[in-house]
Amino acid sequence: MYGAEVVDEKEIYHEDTSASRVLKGRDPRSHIKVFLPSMPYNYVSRLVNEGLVRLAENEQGWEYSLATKSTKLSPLLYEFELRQGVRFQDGTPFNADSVIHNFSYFLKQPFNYTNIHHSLQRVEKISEFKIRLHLSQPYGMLFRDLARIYFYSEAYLSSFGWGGAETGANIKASGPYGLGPYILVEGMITGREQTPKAILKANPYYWESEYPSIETITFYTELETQEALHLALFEDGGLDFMQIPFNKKIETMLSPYAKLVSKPSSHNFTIYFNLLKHYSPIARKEVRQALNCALNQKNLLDFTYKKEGRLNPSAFNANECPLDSSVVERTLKGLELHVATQDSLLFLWKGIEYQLSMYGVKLRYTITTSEKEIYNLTQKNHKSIQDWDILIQNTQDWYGRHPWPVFIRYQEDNPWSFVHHDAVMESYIHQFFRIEQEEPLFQTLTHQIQNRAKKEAYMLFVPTPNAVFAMNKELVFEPLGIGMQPFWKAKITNQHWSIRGDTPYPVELQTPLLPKRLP
Amino acid sequence: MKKIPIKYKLFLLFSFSFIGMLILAERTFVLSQENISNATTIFENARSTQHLQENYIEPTNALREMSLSLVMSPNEDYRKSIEVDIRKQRERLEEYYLKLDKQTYDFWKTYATSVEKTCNYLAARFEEGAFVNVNTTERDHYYALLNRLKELQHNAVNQAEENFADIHTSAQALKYELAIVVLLLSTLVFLAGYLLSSHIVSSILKLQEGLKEFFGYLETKNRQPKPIELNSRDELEDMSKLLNRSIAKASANIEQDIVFIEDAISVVNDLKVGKLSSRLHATAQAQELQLLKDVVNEMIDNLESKIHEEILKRTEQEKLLIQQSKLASMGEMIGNIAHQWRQPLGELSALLMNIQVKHEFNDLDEAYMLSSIQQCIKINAFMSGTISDFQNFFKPSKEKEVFEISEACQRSIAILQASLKYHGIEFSFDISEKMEVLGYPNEFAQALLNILSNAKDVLSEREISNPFIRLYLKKGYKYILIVIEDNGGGIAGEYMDRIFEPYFTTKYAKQGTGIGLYMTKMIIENNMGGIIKVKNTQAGALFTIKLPSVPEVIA
Repeated sequence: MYGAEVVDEKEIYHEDTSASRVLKGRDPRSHIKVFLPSMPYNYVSRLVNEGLVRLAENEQGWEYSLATKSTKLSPLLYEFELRQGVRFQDGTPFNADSVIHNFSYFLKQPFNYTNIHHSLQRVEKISEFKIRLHLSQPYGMLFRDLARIYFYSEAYLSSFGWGGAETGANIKASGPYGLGPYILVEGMITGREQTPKAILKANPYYWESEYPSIETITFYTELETQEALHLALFEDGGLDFMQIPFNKKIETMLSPYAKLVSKPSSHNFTIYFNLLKHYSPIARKEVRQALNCALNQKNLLDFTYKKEGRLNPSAFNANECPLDSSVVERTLKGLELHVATQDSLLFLWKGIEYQLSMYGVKLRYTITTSEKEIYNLTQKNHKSIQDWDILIQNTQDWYGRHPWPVFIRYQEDNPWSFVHHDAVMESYIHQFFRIEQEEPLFQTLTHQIQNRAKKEAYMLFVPTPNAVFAMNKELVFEPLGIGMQPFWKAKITNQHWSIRGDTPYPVELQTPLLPKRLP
Repeated sequence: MKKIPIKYKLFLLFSFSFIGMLILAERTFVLSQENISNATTIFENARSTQHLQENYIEPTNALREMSLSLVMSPNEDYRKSIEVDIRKQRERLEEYYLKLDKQTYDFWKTYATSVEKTCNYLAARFEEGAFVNVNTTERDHYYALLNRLKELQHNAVNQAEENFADIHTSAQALKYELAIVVLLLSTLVFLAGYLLSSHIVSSILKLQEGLKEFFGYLETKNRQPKPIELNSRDELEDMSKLLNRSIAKASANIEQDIVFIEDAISVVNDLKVGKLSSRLHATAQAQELQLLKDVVNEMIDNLESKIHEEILKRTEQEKLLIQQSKLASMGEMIGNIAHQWRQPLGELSALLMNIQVKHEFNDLDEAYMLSSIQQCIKINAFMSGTISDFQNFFKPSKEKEVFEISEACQRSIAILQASLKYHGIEFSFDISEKMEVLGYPNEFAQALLNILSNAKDVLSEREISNPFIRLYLKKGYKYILIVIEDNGGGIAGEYMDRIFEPYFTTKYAKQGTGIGLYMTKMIIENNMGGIIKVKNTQAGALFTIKLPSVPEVIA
């Protein structure tokens, strides 16, 4: 192209102006499609259900929801005042009896991934909207657990009871059974079982009357990553919200329909060693330490995470490896390991594999698109030892800026842990349950547990990832970096596909938006 | 018509050629100058292309590579150093691009701005923007700039191509021009050369023809040569006239010389038959022949005189020699007689002394006297026989006869025996059977005596210890072999070939005549048809006489 006039091009990136164009109120046509392949049951259950408190991005990590006030009467006695005028999704009223009734079901079959089932003794009705919780021992994680003890309508409880599933979610059927801003109208999702798609409709009885702003949310649970990306980035109305692999940031930013949003998260990639597989080299601490030593955390962060994340304090620093480099090399040479992973995490494995290949380690994979299969491989390992040596879960922070989603992996007899015969760790965790987050000892104990896990190399530690999303340009809300997305607060503009109908998306809006990096 | 010398004709031809060469050289020089000029332009175009490549394209590529590296860098530490490099590279390139045309500079400026934008994005931690920019806008601007630079390179290359085409065209044109000039000049020179050379060659051919005829005449003398007719009006015509005169004169001289030579041949023929009085009388034209005539006549005179003198001399010599030989033979004979007579004379003397003693003591009786006389008569008879033997020995044989060879040998031995004994020389004579030859027995005995006598002289002269002479005969199928061998040290190598020559002797002048072995050879080979040879053995000389045996001779 000789002699072509090259003019100074205008800035191709624009500020996101969608917030200024949001619709007032809730349009019955409003509809968003969401794909969250990791722990979708958490996200859905927090839209469909509510408890006395709910997780929040604040100092204490939670906020009042169906309770409006709590008083710690003693280390073993808490009093809660309930929100008045709240109704279940089927229109039935919510009051102290509802709470007593639900707790009676819960105490019969509680979830077992914290220590609530050992700490909660009983619930006492004080008045129509006041209750008291009696503990058998001081329990520092009480409010976090209360955020996951949802209340169900009598119709649900009489049909399904309190499941006590290892995932905690309790949505075994669609219907107006909860108290959350959305009603599950189609599909089911428990974590161990789920339909590929779940459809949520706005709860007309939700106690926060201004919410939700969007009438319908379609949740996909098992899309292939490439397909989901295509839908989100290149199809108008294909997908409104999804967490993307880090190497898809550019395409997302340049997409005509999506914008790039990134936020530091407290998620983590939980990479289990199969500690129960005693005949595997992985059962040897030295091998696990060597694998952790072999990983260059900075390079993983720079090249595999594309700088979207931060270093994990549980991982060895460059000079922390307890083994000599020669021992690491000797230990790892010729090692062949079986890895179970979701396809969405393959990008991470390619980075890890590259680094381990320098030591002669070979990886072979079992790949699935469905998280429930990963969960099955994890849970079945307790009953009969599975073939995998390493298994990865993309753990969304379902506990709200609290280390428990990590420490749960170190608790003996926990369905999500394979650690055994570690009295030190057991005593740490025992103490940990008793200490509240605000206490100074909390940090000390947290470090002790982290260091113990690091020393024993219970996990393959990798950097903590940011939450990076592809979000429809006409969808407006601030995503969170924990295992909950407040879609009930989300809004759309008049240019959203669900409102536009057949009208094409304006070309001027198809230009790239500057990425939004949330603090 | 005026006479034009060949020199001028050739000068004219060479002048044509020289002018042609000058014209060609001038045209070639012009082309060479044009080509150098065009090649210089092409070289400048190439340098311009290289300049663009080295100072613009490659540094711009480097800047692009730095920009990409910057975007790929994993952290700030890497970026800082790359940003410094980028800044320096941009400053350097800015300086260079300012030297180019405005259009190119604008392209550069646009690209530089987009690089800056990439840097700014990264500074603002907008890595995605930097990545996109470096791969879209910056890349487009980079390629636009690169294309502009390539266009400049293309222009330079096109210019070079045009210049090359010019060179090609002018070279073609000059090729034709040179071809025409060469053709014209060649034709002109060829024609001039052809005319001139054919003119000269024709004259030369005529000259050649005339000369050939003349030389033919010289060889055969058959026909008088015709004069050369040449009208070339040049040196050749002059030459032909000169030749004609020379030929005429030479012909006359030759005729005269032929007469002279015929006379000379006649004289030579006379000389052949010994007519030494014949002389050359004809007169030759050639001075040399005349001189030759005088020399030949003088030579014949001398020859006649010399031959005459030589004949006289040889006759005298032969006479003298024969005399000498006779004297020598006589001397030897007397010597041999002396040896033969020494014993009987002694016996005679003893007998006489006994008679004297007996007489003095009166003891001489008749019987004794008669007995002594008888003895003296015997002795006298022996001595007389000796004389007869010698007389017979030297008496030449009248004619050829068959004789027993051992008898002839015995006669020679008998002559020499006493002398051999005197000198203490061991002599052996081995004869196995009867052998006869045809010839002259006395001459043969004399010939053998010469060999034996020589051997004896050598052995005594050289004082050889344990001297011996061996004589033995062998009979073959056709020949009889007589071998005489001694241990006298043999014949010196340098004399070996000359030993049978007349007047050759190794003895002191007064002792030898040089005639003995010559005579021996004459007797054996000329008179008796045999062969005599000599060779040296380890101890001395070995003479072999090979004579045809009688049956062979008769047959």
